[in-house]
Amino acid sequence: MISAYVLPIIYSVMQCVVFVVCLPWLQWCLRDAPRWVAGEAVAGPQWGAFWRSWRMVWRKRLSIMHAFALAAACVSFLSLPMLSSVHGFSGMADPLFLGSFLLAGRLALGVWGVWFGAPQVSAVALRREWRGAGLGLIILGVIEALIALTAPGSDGLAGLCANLQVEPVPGLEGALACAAMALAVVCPPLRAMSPGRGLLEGASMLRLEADMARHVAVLLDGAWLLLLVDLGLPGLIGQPDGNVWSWGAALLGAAVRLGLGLGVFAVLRLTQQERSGRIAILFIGMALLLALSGRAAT
Amino acid sequence: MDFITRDAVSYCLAVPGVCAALGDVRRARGVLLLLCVVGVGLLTSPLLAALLLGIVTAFGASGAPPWWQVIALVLLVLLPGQVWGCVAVLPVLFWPWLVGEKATTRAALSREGSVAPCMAALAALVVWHGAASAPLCAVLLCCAMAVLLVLRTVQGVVTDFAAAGMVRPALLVALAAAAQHEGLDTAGQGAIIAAVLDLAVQWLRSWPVQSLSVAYALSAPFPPMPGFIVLWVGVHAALNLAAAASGWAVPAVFCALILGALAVLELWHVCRTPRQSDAVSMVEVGKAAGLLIGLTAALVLIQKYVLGGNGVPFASFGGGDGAFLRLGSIALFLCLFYWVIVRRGGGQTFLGHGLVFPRGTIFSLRRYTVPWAWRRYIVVMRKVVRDVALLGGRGGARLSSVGPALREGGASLGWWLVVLATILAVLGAQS
Repeated sequence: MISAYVLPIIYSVMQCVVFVVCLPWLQWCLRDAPRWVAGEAVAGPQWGAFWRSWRMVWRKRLSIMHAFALAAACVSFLSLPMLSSVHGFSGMADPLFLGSFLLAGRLALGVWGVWFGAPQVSAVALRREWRGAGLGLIILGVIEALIALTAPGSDGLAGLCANLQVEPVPGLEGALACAAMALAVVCPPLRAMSPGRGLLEGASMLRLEADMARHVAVLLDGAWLLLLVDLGLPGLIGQPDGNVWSWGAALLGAAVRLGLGLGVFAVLRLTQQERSGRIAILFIGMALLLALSGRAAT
Repeated sequence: MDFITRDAVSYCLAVPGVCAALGDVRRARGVLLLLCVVGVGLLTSPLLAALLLGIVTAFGASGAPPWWQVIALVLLVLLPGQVWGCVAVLPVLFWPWLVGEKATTRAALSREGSVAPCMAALAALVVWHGAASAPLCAVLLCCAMAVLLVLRTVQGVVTDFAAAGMVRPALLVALAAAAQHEGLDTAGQGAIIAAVLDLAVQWLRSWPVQSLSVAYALSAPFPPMPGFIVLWVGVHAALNLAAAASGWAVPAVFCALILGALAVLELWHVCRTPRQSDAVSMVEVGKAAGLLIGLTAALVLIQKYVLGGNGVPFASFGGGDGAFLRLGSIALFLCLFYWVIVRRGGGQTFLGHGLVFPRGTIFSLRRYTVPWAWRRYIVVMRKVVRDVALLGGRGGARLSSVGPALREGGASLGWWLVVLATILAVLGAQS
């Protein structure tokens, strides 16, 4: 009873806690590392601000929209396979479910909160965010189709990992990597946008809302990175058992996945190819081509 | 599909339409639509169904040309249970949305009326009665209708973004018929349940705003919403069909993509709906939560106990292809989370300041014109045709750029990529 139900759930909660604790570092890698690579002087990870924001969230509570975004991030942290693909809430790690939840959370956040009377630039950026979310939803459908066609009968990411362990599918991993890349191009990490009149007028409630939105954006970006990394490289998700080496391999796999994802995001940011529709469509086409060629090869 | 007999399915599909017709603001229109839905759904006589459909199309809002209506009804009567009847009838049902709203029919077609949910229910019923003979034909027909409606919406002819969602129940029902035809029972059941859920959501959305102001968000493709459950289950039923039945790989994936496109339109619709204020009363939140939890629990219980899903994990819902949506754990998590973390006070819940939905349109809507880039390709195509016609080598062929490139043996990379992609696509479609 305990080993069947309680331990996996404790493992999931532990994983969620580890993610939440490590987030400022991840956020630094996502947001500031590209600038650091480009030669700018940047500050280190902001641990103090992060924990102060958590305390503020607990004291003042959130609005419905921000709570929705935070729920999306927390569901991802709970259910995504970090070290092992089998744990308490691994059944919830369905690509379409988690992806659309996170996309909706991004939209509900309103790109860190754009207030009434926002400048035209912010409005345009908001519209691009919505457009990108629409394209992202379609790409998630394509990913679901790729998984269902090449590894039939797999139940979410955990089932996909199990299927891949049993019988490797040619072409699927490359196709998934390309599709995740397309998602990364279409929906890059959230950026701060210039707020409107409301914030400048200095209403205290609006300032609080902006702080909350900034905090939730950190969590959402981390969750989005983890989802893309797990979607794109399912072969690196370990299957640890009692052996110590298998746990080491799983840790190594997680580190490699995260490193690759951060590198891809940094390269996209540095070459200014975020939201480039042409590149996204190129990667989708490449994913379909790889899947078809893998299917033809068998 | 032993647990669902054909009659029971048509009753289930008819119920939301009947409810919508009963609650219509305009009584006469409501009674007419009620007669039609009841006639098509509950009576199996094709003659009576055609008579009722004829009455509604004659007196209702449909503006199809009369000769087409007559031909459609005659086909429906003469070939009962065949796909040709629904091929002819479906465009009649969606005619105002396909052709464009005239000023006279716009009032009749607004969100408040029961025309849209009743038309969705009618289309689903007609497809269910006719699809069993040629499921591929029915699925392709519904796909074509959905593509046409999406195109009309994107062009700006149809101003109601959610109108394209009317085809979704018919599409799901056609998928269910196809799955039943191929012997995939669970996929068929899942698709039918998704269709009924979609119809119910469309019925709720047609309520007046005063009584249910959150209904527009119910069909949004976000995870706790029923719209997402419909999308997920529909996509997975289609993909099960693609993976398990031979010859269905391409049409079923196309179906899944169309379901995704319809979901994106729902997203646009939600984003265009203006927000009333920054705070929601707890009564509204309670209504929405009650609807959500009721619908979800009904889905889970139906699949587990009525349909006899023995392999279904606890409190989850499957689309038939081995993947399950853990509705129970999702609902539990969200309820706990919202209970703890959301700010409340004074009988109101704080929705959030700020501009979440962009003002105006997401796409720049425009009428269909051939863009210049395409026209260039069209000109090149014409030139290619002329080249092929003149390949014998008279003076005209020398002037084109395609002829020499072909004669060099296709040295350019693009040609080879196109050829490779075509071969791979053909191989993938055959396997």
